[in-house]
Amino acid sequence: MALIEGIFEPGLIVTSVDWVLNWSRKRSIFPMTFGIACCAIEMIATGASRFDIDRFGSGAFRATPRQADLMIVAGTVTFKMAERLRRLWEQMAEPRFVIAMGACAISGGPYHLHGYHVVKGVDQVVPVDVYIPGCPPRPEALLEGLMRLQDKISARTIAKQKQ
Amino acid sequence: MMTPSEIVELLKQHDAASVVSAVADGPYPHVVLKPEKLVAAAGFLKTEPRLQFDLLRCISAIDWPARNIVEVAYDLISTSFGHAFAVKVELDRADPQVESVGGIWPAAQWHEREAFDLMGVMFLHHPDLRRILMPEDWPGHPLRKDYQDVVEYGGLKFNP
Amino acid sequence: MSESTRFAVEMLLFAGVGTALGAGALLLGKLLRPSNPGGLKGEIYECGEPTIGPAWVQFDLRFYVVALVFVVFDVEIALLYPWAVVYKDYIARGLGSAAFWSMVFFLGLIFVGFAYLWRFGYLDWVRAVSPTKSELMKDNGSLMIGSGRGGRNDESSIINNP
Repeated sequence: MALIEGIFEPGLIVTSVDWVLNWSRKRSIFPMTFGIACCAIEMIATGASRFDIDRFGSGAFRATPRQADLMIVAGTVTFKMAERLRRLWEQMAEPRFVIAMGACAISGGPYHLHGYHVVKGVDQVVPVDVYIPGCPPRPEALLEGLMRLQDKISARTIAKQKQ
Repeated sequence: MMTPSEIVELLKQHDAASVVSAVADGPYPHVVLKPEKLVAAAGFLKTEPRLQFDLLRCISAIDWPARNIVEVAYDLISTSFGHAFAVKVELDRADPQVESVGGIWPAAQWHEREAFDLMGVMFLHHPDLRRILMPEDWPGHPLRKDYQDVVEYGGLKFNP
Repeated sequence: MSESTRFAVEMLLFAGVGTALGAGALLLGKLLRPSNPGGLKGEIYECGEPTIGPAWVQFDLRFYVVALVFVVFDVEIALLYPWAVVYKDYIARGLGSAAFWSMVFFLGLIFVGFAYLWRFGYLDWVRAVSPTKSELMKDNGSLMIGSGRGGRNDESSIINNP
């Protein structure tokens, strides 16, 4: 909870402050490198020059959770990896977001029936904001997911919420 | 470069008692050895000047519940001559044990760890026999035909 | 106002605006950012693994040797500069040889130290074992000898136990 959050009633000033705050947050979402499997290759392609995630302000992939806003879970999550994934998500600072990229991160993907070591969906481990279907999703799909996340960030407000 | 039948002949000349059966034709020429004679035969295969199988390409463990055995196959290649061959051992399915060949081919150490992890084969005198793919405290050996999936692990349900 | 007062006011304004900008940015951040400390967030970061041991480990002492050697020779260079500046004047006044030989004496002292470092291997990152040193270093685990291992104190790393 920020210090000025939840104090003021919705109004012109609060809305303007909201607009500026959300604008600056959504135009500079720093992803954390969490490419686990094949979807990581598509994430890398999104970061390369043809699809260029940097024009959305998200080109600075931070390797450490302390400096990252967004965790793109790209790939199959195993039980062994789930513990580390949870710990790293805990070590991220708010406001933090999670994108589940690819079928494996959404629901276990092709390993849903017989995968003996696969977590059937990363939302069993961390709360997910945006799901991007595909196996793997095209870079344009990842950018669409990023834009949906930007819309989600635009909807945030620091005004007092009605109970 | 020796043909598979010549390799089988050489092995039989070296120690005929260790060979249980041999297949020299087809896509996968191999011999089946007795498990207790494996290390001696492996040493022969590596050091014999006409064979020189210095590269262990792969160790695979196969589960045959109908025949009640676990088969372990060692794929060998000679980098000097270019011939390829395979050696198999058949182990009792209830308690599969065989001597480790890690002293002869160091690559065997990780392959044997994988065979232990996923199939439960015990390799005697292995310097560091522990799971390599699954978590350390995983119950069971997943690639066995009668493996039961866990219900939950580490607080996560297996099937939501 | 007088020149010095004006100058003082300018400096104060400069310092004030600079401080205000910095403090203002920090204050804005403090107001606007969420603050939820505690829980697992404060754990030491080790790529997701549970941490082994504290984060403060003893640094390799070779870095200290390198820093010390650097400081000595850097000061020597720094002292050479003013000497070089006034050397021409000394020659003009006829004291050239005195100036020259005093500097040679100074450099000679430094050079004796340099020769000692070189001879006894303090300039090598990977030191060969010499009989005089190995007896002294036998129990000292953090200075490196012979086998080329780094000055690590923990035995658990894969580098120490290949």
